[in-house]
Amino acid sequence: MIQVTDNQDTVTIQLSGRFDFRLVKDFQELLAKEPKTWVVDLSGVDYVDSSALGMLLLLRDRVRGDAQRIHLRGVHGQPRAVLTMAKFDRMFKMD
Amino acid sequence: MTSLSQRIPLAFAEQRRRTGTLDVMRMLRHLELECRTRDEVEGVADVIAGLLPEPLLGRLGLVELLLNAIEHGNLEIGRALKGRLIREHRFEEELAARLEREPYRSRRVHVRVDIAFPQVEIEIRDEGVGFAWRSELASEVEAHDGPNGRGIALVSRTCFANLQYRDPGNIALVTLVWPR
Repeated sequence: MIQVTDNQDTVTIQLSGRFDFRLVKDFQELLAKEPKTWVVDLSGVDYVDSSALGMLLLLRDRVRGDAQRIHLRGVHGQPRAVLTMAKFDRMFKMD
Repeated sequence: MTSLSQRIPLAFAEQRRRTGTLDVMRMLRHLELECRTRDEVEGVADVIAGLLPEPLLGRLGLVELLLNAIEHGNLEIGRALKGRLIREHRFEEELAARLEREPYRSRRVHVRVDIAFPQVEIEIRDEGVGFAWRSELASEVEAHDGPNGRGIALVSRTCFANLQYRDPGNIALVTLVWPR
């Protein structure tokens, strides 16, 4: 599930449950926004797949690779293991 | 009528309640399942993941391999085409269209699980023409650009360390061993 908060310069995308191939379309639609910074809150996510990695990289393309403009928040459990393995902790601000 | 993928988990859930997964594993010899759509992929993955030592990682690996088998194998949507379709917001639409169109429509992914406890062998066969699997297996997840193409690297690094393919690449093979 995706919830979005649009707060002046920051768009927060709050995801819950599985962040996987089923969310590609909805996630992509959010990318039309143009905030200064993005927060992707994964504290409610317990499962990611390769499509989630792809979606985060599409988001990264939107900010032209500027890691400081995307904050992956609340990454834990399986998502942390997968994102770290894919070296996303080097490409995004992640905690 | 309930589908096979709906009935099997119920049967297993009941067995597990009585005797536990390991006892079921000692009695199971093999399972054969088929899937055609992404919904069915999740059903098949959930059934098999329940038989594996690490169900959550196993589920991820199975879903990735089964989706590859459908999208790239049976439906012949190559990596570059998938990337382009995703960027153009047309991937879901193209996937749905091919699923309704021959020759893709009648193709299935065939899954066979052979168990000789503690060993579990999983074979995933699609009806496509295969792919250059050796270079995919050797690649790192971070080596890929764009919205897609990381599945196999992810699976082999995170879920199934001994993922292999049989030439021409339309058969994926995974062997897992339950720890003693």
